[in-house]
Amino acid sequence: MSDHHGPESDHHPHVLPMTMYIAVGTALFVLTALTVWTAKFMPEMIFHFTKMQVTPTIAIIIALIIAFTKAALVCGFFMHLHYDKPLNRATFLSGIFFLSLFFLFTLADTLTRDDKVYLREGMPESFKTLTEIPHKPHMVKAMAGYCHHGVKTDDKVHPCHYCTTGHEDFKESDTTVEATPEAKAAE
Amino acid sequence: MSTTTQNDVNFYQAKKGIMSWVYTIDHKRIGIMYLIASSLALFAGGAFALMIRAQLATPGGMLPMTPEYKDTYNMWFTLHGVIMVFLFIIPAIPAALGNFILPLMVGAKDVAFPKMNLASFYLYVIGAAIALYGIVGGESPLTTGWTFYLPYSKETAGAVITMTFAAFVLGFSSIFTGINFIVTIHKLRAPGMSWYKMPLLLWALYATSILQVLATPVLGITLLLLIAERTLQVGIFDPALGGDPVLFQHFFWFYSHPAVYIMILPGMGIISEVISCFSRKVIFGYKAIANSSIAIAVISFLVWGHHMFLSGQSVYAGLVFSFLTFLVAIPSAIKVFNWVATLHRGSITFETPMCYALSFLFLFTIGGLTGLPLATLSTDIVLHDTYYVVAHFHYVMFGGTVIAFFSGLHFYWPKMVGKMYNETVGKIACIIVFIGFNVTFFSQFFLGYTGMPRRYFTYDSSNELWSQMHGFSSIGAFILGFGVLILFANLIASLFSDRKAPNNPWGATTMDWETQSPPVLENFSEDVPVMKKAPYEYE
Amino acid sequence: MSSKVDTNKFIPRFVSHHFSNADQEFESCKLGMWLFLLTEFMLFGGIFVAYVVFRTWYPETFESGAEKLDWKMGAVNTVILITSSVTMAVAIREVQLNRKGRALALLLFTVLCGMGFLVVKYFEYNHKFELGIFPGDFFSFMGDHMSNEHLYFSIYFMATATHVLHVILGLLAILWVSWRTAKGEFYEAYYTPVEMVGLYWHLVDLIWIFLFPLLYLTK
Repeated sequence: MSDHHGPESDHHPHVLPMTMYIAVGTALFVLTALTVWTAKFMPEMIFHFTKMQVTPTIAIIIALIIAFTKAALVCGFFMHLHYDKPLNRATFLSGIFFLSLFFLFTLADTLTRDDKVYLREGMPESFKTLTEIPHKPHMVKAMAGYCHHGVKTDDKVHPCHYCTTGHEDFKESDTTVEATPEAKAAE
Repeated sequence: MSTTTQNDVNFYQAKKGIMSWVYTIDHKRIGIMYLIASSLALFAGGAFALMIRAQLATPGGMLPMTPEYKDTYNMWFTLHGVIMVFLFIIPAIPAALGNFILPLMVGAKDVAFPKMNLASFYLYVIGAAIALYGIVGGESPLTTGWTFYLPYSKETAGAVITMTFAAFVLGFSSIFTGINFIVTIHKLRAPGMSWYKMPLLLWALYATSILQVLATPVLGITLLLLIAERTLQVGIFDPALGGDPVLFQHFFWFYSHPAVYIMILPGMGIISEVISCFSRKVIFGYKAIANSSIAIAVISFLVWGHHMFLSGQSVYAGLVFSFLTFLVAIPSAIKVFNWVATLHRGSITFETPMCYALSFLFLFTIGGLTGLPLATLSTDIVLHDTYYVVAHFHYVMFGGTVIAFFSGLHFYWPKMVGKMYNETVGKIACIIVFIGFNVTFFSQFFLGYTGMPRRYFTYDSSNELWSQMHGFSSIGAFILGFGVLILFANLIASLFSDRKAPNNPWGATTMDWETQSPPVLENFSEDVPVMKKAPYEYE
Repeated sequence: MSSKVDTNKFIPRFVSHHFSNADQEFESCKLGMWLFLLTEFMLFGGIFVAYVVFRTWYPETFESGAEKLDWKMGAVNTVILITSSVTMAVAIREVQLNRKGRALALLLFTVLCGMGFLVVKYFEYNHKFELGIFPGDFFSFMGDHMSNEHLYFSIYFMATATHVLHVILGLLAILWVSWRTAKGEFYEAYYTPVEMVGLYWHLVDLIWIFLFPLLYLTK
């Protein structure tokens, strides 16, 4: 393949200011800290002040909002989509569009499967147990000789990190949290 | 560059020796290699089809009814499906004909990424080699069907991992072709060729490529998860471990339903070219055909659940999928009506490509209409997994895609090899294929309608209708096989004849016919070819 | 423009035969790369669909599973990957400004970050394996867990292993462009491979941005 177009002097890069990279990088670090804080520390704070639980649904919505913001920053600025040709932007957006179709129609099935339909319409009790059991996972307690965290209790070489540091046993804390509203209801 | 000596030398003669083929990045050579490879796959898949029909010709069959042969028949239909789908029908039109024609049609010197194009071909060869190893490499026979449904594909001893890995590699090959075509159409069109001045084959290949790029990766992750399911026991699809086998079908059909449009869309593109050319008429409803290609591509992502009406999918999802499936009939019908309208008052001549194109119109319409009872929830309960389904999709896949492939092969053959084939023999082959096809598959509608399930290696000998129809179908299959042999023999014989093809034997108006037959090394003798007139401007 | 470029420092490059100019070539490569990234989105999309399906079916299982992951390790890895994304982006900028030395240093720092990510991931995997936390049927954890928690870890291992594979491929690609940068093949008028590898590396970061909260922080 002979070359007959001459050296590549007709492409001029679009150099972006350094401040942009610093600003976006900083924003990404701040958002990472924010998502950790909202997931790990904010629920306790809210519970402490208002006695309200942050449900997992709300927690995951918050986490996803932050994740989408971070993704938008990376795509828009580091991957230059903000400055790029509309075609490349359309390519990226078509990915989001078709992925959401994938999510939407798969969930349209899995969230409305027949067993749940029948249950809602008042099937006999025997049917209920038949359809419920495989869908209902249950708690399996730690085996004898192991702590809740799955480490052998007599293991002196690698003792359980959480147990030895006096970290609150998470299952017990769970039960106390759950007990509070029940106790309130009892009162 | 564009000296006069260069003009006379076509791309076959420009470079010599086997290595010039092994290392070539010329889209025309890669297209030719793809054509040879996928034709071999057609013969391999066809051989399995004939074995299936030979077995079913009589209720007793030709296999002994002993346990050691129980999987042999299952292996035949599985390999027929796997080879035909992954090795022949998906690469046949886009990667073989499309590779050759697309850059010529857009007026480019090559596809955008020639090296990736070659990589695509080698991935195809590697995938085919892995598949071949799965067949003859000593593993127990693959009996899952081409769909690899769980939980059977997890429990069976067959060569599932080898075959899924082969399909995974072939998927990459398909993705590379798709990326190449999209970029070529976007960036390398000749000056003067705006979007609505593109020949309709380009629109069809563009829509196909979108599907290849968007859907094939999901097949990749599906097959990876299936391999992980068999090796690591991950349990995502295994009901015994709390997973969901229906989820596998969602994953699989999210790819494989768009994949059937990967198969048919380029065929539709070829039909648009051929019908307009041999009617000597501007194609009727150009924009409608162009836009309906894109519409089919988009809607094809919304309908995958119609393969799962009886798989334990929720009835609500089934309702939605059933409704959306009817939608896809609209753009398909738009195309058919426009082709028929193009024929209306055209000066039609019946050259071999046109004979195939008219067969396509007839067979694809039957295939499309028989799909509607399958899209309807209530009738599908009766027809699901019967020979009715088999007949329906063969009318679309063979009667549609493969006939369109034959049409395109005859249409572009003079451009590809520079020789004219024997027109009379070509037409005779076309008639034999048409008759053989209808005898084979129309009888299967009756079988399916009366309840004959698919994938069974025998049937009730007391049922007279089934015995008759299976007999018809088997005879038809051998007629069809004979027709295809004549077709290829005619084309191969033309290579040794001295009927040199003119540059534009059919008087077509797209840019691919402006260059020599066969084309020169960089396609056009001028450095930057300019589109001079719109496609389909016949006087 | 070209007068600014020191011709002893850089190897001039020619456009491939089938493109008419460098801009067309660059834009074609970029579109091709975006289409490739699209396939990657769809590939990971499959794993995310499996995640969402099982999460909506078994929320308690997923919460119990997420508790067994060390979110601090995940957070460290997030910081590492974002840092590497920043340095990668700035490296492209340095190439565009013909500053070969700085670009090379930033590229190598990016590789270092990627390796750091892999090291942290190794310790995480190792810890899980010691406790008997394996995907699917091999799950042999002895502590408190939900009866189908192996499903959570199947998805965790499939998602993170696929991601780690992409990290490794990305690192190899960055090493390749570092080598070519050192040879002086890239300058303001030709830096397509660096730009493409950069896009790929940002994709790796992008996937992790979603994996981190969904796998580690959902309780």
